[in-house]
Amino acid sequence: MIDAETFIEDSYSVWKVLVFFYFLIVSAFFLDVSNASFLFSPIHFSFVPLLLFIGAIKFPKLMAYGIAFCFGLLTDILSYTPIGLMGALYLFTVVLCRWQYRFILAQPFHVIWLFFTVYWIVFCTVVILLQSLYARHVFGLSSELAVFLYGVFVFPVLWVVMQKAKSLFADSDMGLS
Amino acid sequence: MARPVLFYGGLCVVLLLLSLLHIQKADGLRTQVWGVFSPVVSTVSRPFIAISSFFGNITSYQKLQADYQLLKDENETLMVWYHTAQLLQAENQSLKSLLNVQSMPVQSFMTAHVLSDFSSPYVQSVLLDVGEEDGIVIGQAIIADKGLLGRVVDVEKSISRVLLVTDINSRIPVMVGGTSQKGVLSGRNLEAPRLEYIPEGVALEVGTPIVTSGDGGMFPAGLPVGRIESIAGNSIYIGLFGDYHAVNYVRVLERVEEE
Repeated sequence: MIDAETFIEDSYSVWKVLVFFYFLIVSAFFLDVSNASFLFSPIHFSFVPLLLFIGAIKFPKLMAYGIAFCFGLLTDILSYTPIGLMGALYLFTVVLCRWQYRFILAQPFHVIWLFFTVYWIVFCTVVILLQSLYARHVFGLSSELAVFLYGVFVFPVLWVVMQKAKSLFADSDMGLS
Repeated sequence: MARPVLFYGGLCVVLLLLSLLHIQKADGLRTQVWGVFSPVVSTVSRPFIAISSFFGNITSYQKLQADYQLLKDENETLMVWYHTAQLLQAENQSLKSLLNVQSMPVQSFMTAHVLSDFSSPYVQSVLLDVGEEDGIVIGQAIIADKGLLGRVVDVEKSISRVLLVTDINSRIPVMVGGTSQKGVLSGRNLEAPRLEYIPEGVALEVGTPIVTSGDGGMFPAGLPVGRIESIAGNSIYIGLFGDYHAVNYVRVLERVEEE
């Protein structure tokens, strides 16, 4: 027998996590495409891929492939990057995390951070390559160096925030894993 | 897991191939989507602009005394130049009348708010909150603060996109101030664009001002662009007058009437 009270409390906790997480992603998305990126000058940095990476590990059932693809496509359209670039990279992020989910969860944080760093190297390299193809101009590694360093050092902060959010909103996984 | 991943992955590959083939319709689609999103983006960016202005006001208060003295000294210098300019203007007018020179049209302008800044190592572009319904047309010059910022390359009903002079696709005909030497200002997606097509043997000095030449009818002649910042061999780099970092308001030049 399903306990109605427990079911309602569990559903409410899931909805709180869902709203909080997607509020974060949507905020990061609008921060990325709006004039507010100057707060992080001198570089243009997006939190969305980091949030997708962490979200796909912490709340895999919230991260549907279609949602990651749509965020990426919209970012491409609004940021004047080659259409399909961020769609493919955000999709790759979610696919990679869901594929290696069990391995990642069993590791200590410094291994997860290393895993993220390798992923981030691939992410930045693909961006440079495809942007160079699109613009018919060779962009150097320095184009993404600042973004790479930003991502590597911001990742632990975001990881802790999402860890706290998960423990704040839900006592257990609530079926989100 | 396989089927949705294959579907979305295949879609990404197709879209990327179409992008790399530079299908021009994509730019029209982007601007139309921006037309839908611009009210939301404008609303979202307002608190961040307010925060940035708040911190900007704090830092500017700290150097208020130094700024006051600097402005006072500059004002005294400018007053001297003002009287000189008045004498030169009168002399210029009388010479123009003697030679029956055709006058240049008067430049009027419109102020626009910068909606979004896409500046990155790959794209140097901003979006304005004015469009077709405000009389904006492709090719209009955009001025920020003290100098040329870029030109309008895409126009929708209520928004328009500006290609900055620093963008890799930007090529602007310019002239070296004080001479008749013409060249082309080429963007590099970096802060200092390069001055090209200057013949070898032409002596240029750091600090020489660069203005638009008016060639090709792209921009009116004489718009301030920047100064020669450095010369490295055959490469001449220009420091721009217009500050495109955190620009909130710009002027859109339009030709209105003749004197």
